[in-house]
Amino acid sequence: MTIPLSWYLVVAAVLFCIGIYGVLARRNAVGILMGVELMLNAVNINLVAFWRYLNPTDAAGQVFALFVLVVAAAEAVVGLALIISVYRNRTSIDAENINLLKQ
Amino acid sequence: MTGEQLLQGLWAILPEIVLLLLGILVITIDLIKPGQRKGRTFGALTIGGALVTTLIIIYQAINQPPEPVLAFAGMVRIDLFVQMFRLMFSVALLLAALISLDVKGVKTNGEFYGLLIFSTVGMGFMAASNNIVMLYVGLETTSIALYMLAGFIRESTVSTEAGMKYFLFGAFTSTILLYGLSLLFGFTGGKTGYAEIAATLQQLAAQQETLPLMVALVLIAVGFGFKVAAVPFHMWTPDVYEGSPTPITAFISVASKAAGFAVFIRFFLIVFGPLQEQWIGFVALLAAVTMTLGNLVAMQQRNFKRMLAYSSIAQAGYLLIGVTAVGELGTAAVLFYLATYVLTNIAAFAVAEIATNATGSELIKDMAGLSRRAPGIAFALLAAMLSLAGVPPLAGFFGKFYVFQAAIGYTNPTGQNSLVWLAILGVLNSIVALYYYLMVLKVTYVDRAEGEDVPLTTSGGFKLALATTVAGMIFFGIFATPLYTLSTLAAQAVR
Repeated sequence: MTIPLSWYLVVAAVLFCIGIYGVLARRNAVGILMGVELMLNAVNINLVAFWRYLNPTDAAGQVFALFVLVVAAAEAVVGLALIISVYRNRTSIDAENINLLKQ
Repeated sequence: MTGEQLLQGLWAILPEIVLLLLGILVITIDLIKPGQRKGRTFGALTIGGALVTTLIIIYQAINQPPEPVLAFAGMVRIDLFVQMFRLMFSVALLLAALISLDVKGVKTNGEFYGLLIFSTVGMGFMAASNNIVMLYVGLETTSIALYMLAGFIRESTVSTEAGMKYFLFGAFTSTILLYGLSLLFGFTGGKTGYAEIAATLQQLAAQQETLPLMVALVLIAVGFGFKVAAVPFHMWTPDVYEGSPTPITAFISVASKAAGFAVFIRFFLIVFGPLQEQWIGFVALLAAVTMTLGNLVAMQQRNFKRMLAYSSIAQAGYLLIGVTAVGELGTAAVLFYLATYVLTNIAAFAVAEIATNATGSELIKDMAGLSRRAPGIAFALLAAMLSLAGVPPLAGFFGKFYVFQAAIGYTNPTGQNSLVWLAILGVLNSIVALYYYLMVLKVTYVDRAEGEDVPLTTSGGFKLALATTVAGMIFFGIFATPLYTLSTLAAQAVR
């Protein structure tokens, strides 16, 4: 028995929604970043599933997923570095407290 | 791939190659000579490299074959449209490097200039992308470098805060964009090239199966909306513009926005062309909300950089009118508007930096007496504000004129014009905007301040940048035709 494509898409969509919820509900900057990572994983599941089921002879889907992985790693590095530099300045990474620029 | 094709491809992306090598050179010099006083080496290198790149782009644009050049198996597509955007990016890089030469905390830092160059490379690839993988990689190359630049001054609480906010919003929206791209990839049966996707969408649209495609379209519009700072994806703009080092604010407000519009136009006109009827209303709404909200909130600002941030949101709204008026006229208007906007906004932010240095405050009211302390700088501010407001004979006037003209001249496939209301709203908005631009000029020219007879000395980098931009604003305001002709030719190359 083969698993239909739609199952993968549903898993990806659920994962994506959990990620969005994490980004919107979390107040800790690292938590928000984790939400974004979940969303990126949802994208990768989508890409690889579509590639396998729709166009397995063309490697474009796999290559796209690999690019997403690399970019996500670079993004996480930069993001964590920025979060650390914020933390050094004010010993907090709570998104609600970081509001000097609002006044 | 044959050797000849490879050479042709390398020639097509030569400006990006030159910039990439320049960036690596700058960072390497910074690494191998630690702790030494390097003064303006990096700034001078960046400016020189940007000049060379500009010349290469001009040479390529003159010798541009009428057919677009597809290089690297269709990954990038070089035509006059791309060349014009590349020109804007390299001029923006040049001017941003010029106004960085005397900014505390960044002026002698090699990494700063290196990142500035890398982000320009990303923008070049964004504009040239002809494949969704290339689009995403270009977009992230640009964004990741800009996140670091926004938070570059590590000792400053506001700069790090700006960097983090830019990063969190940017990572979130670019992932939403990516999810939209992955859906598009699936709906078209595993295609990544723009032309292939457009062909498949044409078939799907003919079968009336547009609902899933609209989901992908909205998700992709979120990512582009973030890049161009359109409402409701603008929340990062005021904070990032206020907190970042001023040259970076200037660079983000012009180059990053221009890159956003490059992909916006390409993607919506080419890839989503078959769905035009469905998205025009959506983008028109985006334009209307963006310019109205930007202008209304800008009026209440007391901080100059923050006011310019809301002003740049409003300008994105006007530009979106040009995107909505699908076709040559609309695209040409956007290109003209962006080209003049590069000059105008960099001048405005350069004056903001000079005023902040002189008074230690970013508030508009503390700019009082600037016209007596530094008449030249105040004149540059006058030109920039009037050009942003769209007052003739400055370049901004023709930008707005062409955009509204495109909206009025637009006819949809059924032969009706549905965008006159948008043009009227745009004109009303320009009148509202005049108020806050003139308030700044009133403070600098009319209000008195203590110590206003102390002349203000400005360094050469700022003077050169301001002289160039003001000359450009006045030149293109009086002789708009050559630039508009170029914009029209570039707009014809999109299809």
